[in-house]
Amino acid sequence: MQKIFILSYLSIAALFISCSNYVEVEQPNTRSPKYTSDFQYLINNKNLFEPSYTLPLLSSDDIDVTNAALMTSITENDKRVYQWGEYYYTSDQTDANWINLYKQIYTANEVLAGVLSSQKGSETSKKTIYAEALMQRAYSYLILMNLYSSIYQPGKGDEIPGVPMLLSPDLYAKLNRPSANSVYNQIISDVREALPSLAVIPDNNFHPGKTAAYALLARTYLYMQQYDSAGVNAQKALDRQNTLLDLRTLTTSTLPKNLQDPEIIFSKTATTSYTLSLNPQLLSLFATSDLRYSLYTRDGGALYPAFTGRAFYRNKWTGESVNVGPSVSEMMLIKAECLVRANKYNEGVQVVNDLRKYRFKSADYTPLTASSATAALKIVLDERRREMMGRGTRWFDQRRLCNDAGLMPSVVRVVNGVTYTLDPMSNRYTYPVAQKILDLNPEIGQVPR
Amino acid sequence: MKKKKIFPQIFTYLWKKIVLLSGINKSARIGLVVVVSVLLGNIYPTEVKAQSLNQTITFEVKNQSLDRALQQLNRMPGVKIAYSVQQVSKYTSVSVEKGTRTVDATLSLLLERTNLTYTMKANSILLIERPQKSVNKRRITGTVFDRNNVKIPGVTIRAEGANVGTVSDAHGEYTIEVPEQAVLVYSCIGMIPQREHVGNRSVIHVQLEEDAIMLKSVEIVSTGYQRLPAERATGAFGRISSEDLKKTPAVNIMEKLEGSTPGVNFDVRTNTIRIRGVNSFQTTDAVSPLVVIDGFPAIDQSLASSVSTLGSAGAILSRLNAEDIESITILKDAAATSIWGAKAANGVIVIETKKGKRGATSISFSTNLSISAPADLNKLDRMSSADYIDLEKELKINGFITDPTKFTGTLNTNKPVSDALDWMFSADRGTVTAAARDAALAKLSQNNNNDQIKKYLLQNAVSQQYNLSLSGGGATNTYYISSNYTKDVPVFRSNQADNYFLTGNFSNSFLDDRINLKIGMNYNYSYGKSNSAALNALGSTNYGLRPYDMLVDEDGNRIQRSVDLLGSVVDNLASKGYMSWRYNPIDELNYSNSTRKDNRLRVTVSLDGKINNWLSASVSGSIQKLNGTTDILDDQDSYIMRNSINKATTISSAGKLVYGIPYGGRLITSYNQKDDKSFRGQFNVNKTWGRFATLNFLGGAEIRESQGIKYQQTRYGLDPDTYMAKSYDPSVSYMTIYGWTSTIGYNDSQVSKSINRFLSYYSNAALSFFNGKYLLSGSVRFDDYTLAGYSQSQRARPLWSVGAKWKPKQEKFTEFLNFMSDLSIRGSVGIAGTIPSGGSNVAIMTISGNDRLTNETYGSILTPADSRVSWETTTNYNLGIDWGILKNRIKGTIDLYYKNTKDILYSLPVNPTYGWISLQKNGATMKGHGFDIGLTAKIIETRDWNWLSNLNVSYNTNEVTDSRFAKPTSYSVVGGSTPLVGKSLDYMYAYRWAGLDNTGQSQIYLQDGTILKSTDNSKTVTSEDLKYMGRTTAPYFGGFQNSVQYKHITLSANITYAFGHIFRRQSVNNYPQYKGTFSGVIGAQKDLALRWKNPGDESTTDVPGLVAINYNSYSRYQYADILVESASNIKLRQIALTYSVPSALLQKTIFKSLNAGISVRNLGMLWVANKEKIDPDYVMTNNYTNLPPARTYYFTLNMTF
Repeated sequence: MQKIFILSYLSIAALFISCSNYVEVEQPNTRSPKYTSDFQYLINNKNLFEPSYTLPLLSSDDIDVTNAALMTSITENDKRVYQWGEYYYTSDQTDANWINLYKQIYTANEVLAGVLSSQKGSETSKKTIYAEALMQRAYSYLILMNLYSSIYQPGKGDEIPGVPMLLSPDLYAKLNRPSANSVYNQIISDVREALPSLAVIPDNNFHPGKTAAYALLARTYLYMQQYDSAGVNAQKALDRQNTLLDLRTLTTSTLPKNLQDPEIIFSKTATTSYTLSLNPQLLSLFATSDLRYSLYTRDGGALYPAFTGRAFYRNKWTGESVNVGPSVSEMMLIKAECLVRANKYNEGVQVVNDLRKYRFKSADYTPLTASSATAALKIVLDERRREMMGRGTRWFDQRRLCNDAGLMPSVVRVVNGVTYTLDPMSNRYTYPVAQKILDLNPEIGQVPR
Repeated sequence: MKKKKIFPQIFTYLWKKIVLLSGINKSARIGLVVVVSVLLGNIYPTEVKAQSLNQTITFEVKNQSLDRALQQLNRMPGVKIAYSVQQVSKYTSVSVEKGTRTVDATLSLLLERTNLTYTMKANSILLIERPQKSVNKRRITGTVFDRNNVKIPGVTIRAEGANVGTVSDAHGEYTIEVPEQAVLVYSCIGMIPQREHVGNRSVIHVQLEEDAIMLKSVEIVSTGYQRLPAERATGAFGRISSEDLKKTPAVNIMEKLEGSTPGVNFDVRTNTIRIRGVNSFQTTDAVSPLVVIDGFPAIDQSLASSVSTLGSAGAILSRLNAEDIESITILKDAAATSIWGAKAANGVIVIETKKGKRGATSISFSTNLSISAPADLNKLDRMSSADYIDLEKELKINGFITDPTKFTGTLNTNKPVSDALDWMFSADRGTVTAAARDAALAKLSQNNNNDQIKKYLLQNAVSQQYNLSLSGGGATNTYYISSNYTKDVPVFRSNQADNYFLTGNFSNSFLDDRINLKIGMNYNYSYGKSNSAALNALGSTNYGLRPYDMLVDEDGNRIQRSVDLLGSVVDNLASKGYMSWRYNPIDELNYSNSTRKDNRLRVTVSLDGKINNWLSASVSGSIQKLNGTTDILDDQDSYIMRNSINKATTISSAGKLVYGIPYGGRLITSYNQKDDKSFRGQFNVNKTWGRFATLNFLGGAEIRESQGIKYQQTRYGLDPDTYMAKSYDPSVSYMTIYGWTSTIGYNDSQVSKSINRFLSYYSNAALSFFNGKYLLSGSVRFDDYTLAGYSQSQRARPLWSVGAKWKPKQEKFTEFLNFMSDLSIRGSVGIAGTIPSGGSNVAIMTISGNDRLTNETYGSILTPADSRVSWETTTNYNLGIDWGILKNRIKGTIDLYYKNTKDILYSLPVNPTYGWISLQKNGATMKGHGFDIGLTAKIIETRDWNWLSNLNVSYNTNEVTDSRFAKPTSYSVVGGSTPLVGKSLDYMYAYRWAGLDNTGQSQIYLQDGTILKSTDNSKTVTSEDLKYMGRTTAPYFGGFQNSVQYKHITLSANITYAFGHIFRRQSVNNYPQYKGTFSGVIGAQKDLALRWKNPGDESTTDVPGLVAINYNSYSRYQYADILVESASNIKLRQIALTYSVPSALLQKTIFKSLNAGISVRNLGMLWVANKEKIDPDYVMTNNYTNLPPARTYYFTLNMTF
């Protein structure tokens, strides 16, 4: 009898001991990322990776608000951005742009750290996911650099502080700013590392493919003012994707949504959209027959609050967020600018004309010509303003053009009777770091105001 | 002297207890002898069988007292002599020469020189006085019962002065021959001895009363893993017996427990339990105790719930049949709880269900009925109709409400206004005359809808409970079978709950009791229906009634009001074929019912085996299943459905109605399934080394798996007859009546499935020395469970406790304590822990579904890999004293405790550069302390009169000790709940009120004494400007119970009290907070009638006026110190009167016992500190949804057969 008890008891005990992994069962939808598909799910998170920024829409000279009623519709926070204030956020507010971009970087780092050793996936898919994560991280750093790091000046890239750079999901790393060059070099090396593994044709324009990689390089070199490399990469992007929207055949109700837009190479959106009055100086660059004027903008009188002038309305017609990611037309304009800057100004203007053919009714279209490189550069930059208005990219152009004498005049704004001026190379071209973020890690360091 | 007797007393006590419990069956008796022998630790069980007078023993005694000699004999294998100490005390020196003789012969020698002899009775040897020659002997027969009319075997029956005695047999029956005029004394351990004059009777049935104090000394506490006598426990326990539970007839078990145990707060309103306050910053479940039923954690960790979520309005769904409960043990300190490991940080509630007792079958039936009338609506904090109209007038004059008929466009979608405002606007438009308006308003102000609400929407709350149980057992088995039906109907019409229970507990023993099999089965079906029409009518949504809004007109027709669109608009739409867009609450009582059906099944099996006389092993397992469905049926004719269908209906160019959502009703069904399986193996050691030491040890391992799945399905277009639903695409947009498009949308969330496994090793040991004079205990448990993101070393952590107990009364040097009848001092220390739920050591992701546009499955990181997140641990210290004086007529327990929690998980800000704004971190520390005092006194104790009084006093407080939780610079603490250093978690701050200014707006004092107006933005209010008001939970609370018994009538009263906390009076709600148009239904609180109206009113009122209202003014008034009141109160919970029919009267009936009672519950507050006499437990943000419970009358009837 005793033996039976002891034996049965020992067998039960043995059962427990053999089940040391007993408790480690997987929950159906909450787990530590483990399978390649888990990382795929992370990188598929459009809600996380697609939104990019908002503030450049307010700080760039694309807009100019003079109407008092319209001014009251701008929140106090946004007003501080609009007037290039000393600080943007109070001590208990945080900076959504910063948070969002670094959240993307964190998630990308999480994917980069785990996907290659994940289970149940093909090597190809692991590498593609890895490459996409590199692209997302590089894109976020490029935006961060152009928001929070001082204007990049060729030759001074090692002295200019960049932005805190985290390359692994580490919650306790120091957040010192490495040099601007270190960050840019990381961006470029990430994209180059990603290139071979990226899909030639991704499933949709939210996923970066090879074209997106070249487009991102083109943009990066452009902002670094390395125009040769920018041109080369813009061409490589265009070699793979060159479809333009034919505005001649479109109405405001047939404009495609972002996911179906053939011009978009890498879909990124602004986090908030505003219907604020466009800068009259920008509007004056448009011929009224320009289809972008009629399709992409709307009369302020039809809006609430009503104002005289026009507002950017491209995305409102499709009920989506503004696309701020690289597009075919942007690549054409980079290519054009680089050709002009390389003194091949006729070729550059030709590229501009190739674009403009899709922006005017055939009857209204006349090709542009330039008599000098300077005139050609103005043609390209004016076209750039027209084509890329309302997307915040103008802010990045404003910053880099400060390096070109005479290309970036002072911007003046009047808010409630007070005049604010943004001079070229002003410290106010760089966004301040929110005090709350600085308080937690003072080593980030505030940019000079 | 006393100490000398202890051994035989324990022996005889145990023996009699066992005889009492067992029955006459021989094998059962022998089996039980085994247990006795094992407890004494020196007899091998197999040798006992030979008990007989002819057994030979070797025995010698020299000049010992007879008592000592008999003790010596009793230690012989198989010898069992019952005697009383008084019988033998006069024989101080007896001798028997050494020799091997029969027991018979030995006893004869031993008793040679005494006037004692012995007899065999019921298989034991009983010492009796030597019979003397007597004349006129009378043969008496009878039966001995306890108060429940259960027959008691083993009762000693002696004739006073006649030297004859006997013992009652297994059926409680006895026969004795005594002289006439003798007095019989019936005695039995655990019972109060009773004397009966024989007189000329020949049949004497006797009912013995339990000796509560005697029983108390062997009170059993159950930890869920073991049952042990309270005197062997070092921890802090609270215990509630089935008798205690019976005293309160309420349907909700929480009401039965309220105020019963020091240190435990049973909140009947929210159905939550807190043992010794909170240890953590987390809320809800994370601070609730663990509920264990028959050794396994219950699948539902609550004791009861309300069918509806609408405050205290709903009917009660019970999780347990209170009649099935044998005992509830509440484990309060670490020594008690640590056997349950990580889940026990907030205490444990161990419930044992009733088991059968060996003996004849006993059937008992009980029923009780309660009735309570709806609370008096006239006592509600509501304005009169006239005052309400006056408020509406002022709102209109000041432009807060504008004429809704003024609109531009095709469809006027403005919300309708009240009847009174409609008259005012009509007069302004000139559609009615001013005289007609005034007449109408005068008529409206005479209206009072209280009677109609009571008549049509409320009802008498009624509950019925029926319980039938059957129990008994034979030599080797016992059974307990019960069934229960409980119906609960609250005051709000169309609400109800039905609870059904079936329980079967069986035990069987095999191989001479060496193997015991126990099987317990429990099935519970509960059905609950809730309908919010009545509550909505009293609330302040747009379904709410203004004080003058009647439900039916003079002719008794239901008044159909338009609540979403203007009456003229909906009538026009109705003429075009739209469904009626009007609302009457009485109609809605039939519609939009939410019905909840829960099935619960619990099966527990355990098998115990004795390996030898000190070691036993057991395996046990439990399967629990929960299957619940909730149906929310919005019928086609319900207002909700008519409203949604109408909104989604447009008229086509051909004039046909186009329905955007399927025409018909809507049925939302949610399913909830849970499965729990547990399996456990355990060793028990019970070893005694003479009188020196006793070791109680248990060690075991268990596994548990808990699986759950929840999902929901919504059906549209449900036909009320056929229950056929129509298909629909939730993503297709339809045109609404307003001219924009909408979609039904996907409302059924993802299927939520979970699986959790637990693996635990546990051990508990208690070592007692010198008959329990010193006791040491220790407990350790190691838990490992499913938790993604943790390595085993992080996940699993041993939790432990140690405890000690000392009984100074047993020391030689404590004679000065002679005035005390009982004293023990115990202490414990231990660690409880909570595993982090919002942080992890590796990244955890969640898969969120498919992207709306790309249709790709996507996920996100839920928590990052944080190497520094770890357990939250609470160190518990407890010091307790159990004492009794005046032969334990007054006794009590005092426990002091101190708790120190560190590494409390709290969401702390993180630099967003790392990708996270805030993360659960082991951030904070807090400490708590308190005391629990329980006091029981038998104030009067005579044959006919008994007065028992019971008082509980609890104190608990906590304090955040982490300096990172410094007071913020902003005024956010006024309404906030963030922890603050130096304060308890339930603090309250308020603005320092400085009265109204001459525009009728709030003013407050700043720290420096300056007055700040509501419109002054030049100064900011910081937390320093606020006043600390106190705590919102009561630091002192408890209960006071008294029962007075005269013969068979018992009168009892229960009081609960709570002191030292505060509450914020709800003065104004649904009141404009800023100038501009106001939408919604205005509040109707009486205070609104006191609002400032004209300059000068500020000297008499504090309620801000409407004219210059602004947000600061409104919110500073709401959070002002003048609205904070003391919540201290004393409530009379219950008065009960019961009558037990004397057993003598039941002799010739089928009843063994019969008693009936009447109780009144919720008698209101005996005393309350606040001057408005508001019940602080029922002050809620929503108007009227939390009426204090009304006075309830219960009629109870209990009988056994």
